[in-house]
Amino acid sequence: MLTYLELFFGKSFTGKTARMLHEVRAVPRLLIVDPKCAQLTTLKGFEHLWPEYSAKPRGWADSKVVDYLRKVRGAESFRVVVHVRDNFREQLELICIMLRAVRGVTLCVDELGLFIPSGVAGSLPPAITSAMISGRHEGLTFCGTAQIPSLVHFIARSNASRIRWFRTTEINSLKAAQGYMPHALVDSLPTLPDYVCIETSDGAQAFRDESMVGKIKTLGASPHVRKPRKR
Amino acid sequence: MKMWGQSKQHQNAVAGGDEFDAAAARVSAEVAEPGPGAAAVEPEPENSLEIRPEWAEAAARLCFVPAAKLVHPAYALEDGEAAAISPQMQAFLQAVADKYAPAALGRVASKYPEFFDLAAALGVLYWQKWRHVSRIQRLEAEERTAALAGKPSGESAAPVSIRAARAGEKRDAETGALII
Repeated sequence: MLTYLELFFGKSFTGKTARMLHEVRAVPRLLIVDPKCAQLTTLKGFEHLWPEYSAKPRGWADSKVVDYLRKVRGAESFRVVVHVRDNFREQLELICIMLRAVRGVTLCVDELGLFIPSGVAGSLPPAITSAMISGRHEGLTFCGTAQIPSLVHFIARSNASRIRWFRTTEINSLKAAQGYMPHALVDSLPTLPDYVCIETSDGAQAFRDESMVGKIKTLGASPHVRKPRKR
Repeated sequence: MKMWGQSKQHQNAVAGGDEFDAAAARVSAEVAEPGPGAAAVEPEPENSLEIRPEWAEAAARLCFVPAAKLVHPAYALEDGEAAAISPQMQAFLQAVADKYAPAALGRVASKYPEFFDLAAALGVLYWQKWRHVSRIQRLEAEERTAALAGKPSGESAAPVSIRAARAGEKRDAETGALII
């Protein structure tokens, strides 16, 4: 079951995004934010929106996202990918403003570090901060992936109720992992195979999770979840 | 069901979708057209310094002043050259005013608060001194003008100690004594 705020850290092509999509496969109301505009553009079973951002005056120049959310806000289920190519932080702020009004939505953000890079508490836009801190009361749930944890804003890291650590060799990432898991598991992080992660969560022991090996695959081909073999 | 601390207005807003419309209005870059019965709303002035084209042109000319003074006067920009480069200079100065300068000030203020406080205090003191000296200069100029003309002006007729003059002080016209 998805908890309030879940993060997926690890190097590129280790299975972070695929695992995130696997975790939200049963979520009824789902909005994914895609800054890479590559593999997720062909994700099946999702609506795809490409909003245009206007820097001055600030805001979306079109009403694609607003019209879509107006249409589905009362629906039991909807699944949409919002592809953003620039002004990441500003556009995530707009999405957070809208989702707080829609309520009861799971927000998945690929490459979270592009949207909320590390900084002081005041550097986070107010709508994102309030969504992260008190969004739970409005039924908001968050998931995010990032390659390097130290480049993600500390409010997201400190509020995460579950973190899945995929393969990483970066020294700061390994140092950050030391606060969440025993040394033996930290030492195993640089050599983890694809799709294998160390899961750390509130109130539970960290453990090595190999359950997804062979069940999911990195994006680039759709559908993202591999069908089970017929026997 | 009304929860504790939840206003009826809030409940109605959620039920009626006002909250969604308010959020939609916040995220849209388009300016909503007022309805026929709606009162005209004055646009709020933006809280940013707008760089004018003439400032950009002056800044562009300023860049070439050292070369014009030290090397050759032909380095000085002509009107056409200054006009040609002013759009780029205006965009840069606007970026400085909007982004770089506030960010740098914020960094200095948070990293070196003592320095920032000192700079602010010096700025205020310098401004006060500038006002005082400006007044002294004006009075001295009036005195010189009156001396050249051969007849004393009304304000500088008395032998007032000019350097003691301060803004707001009143002195007796005949004796020059300070009136308290």
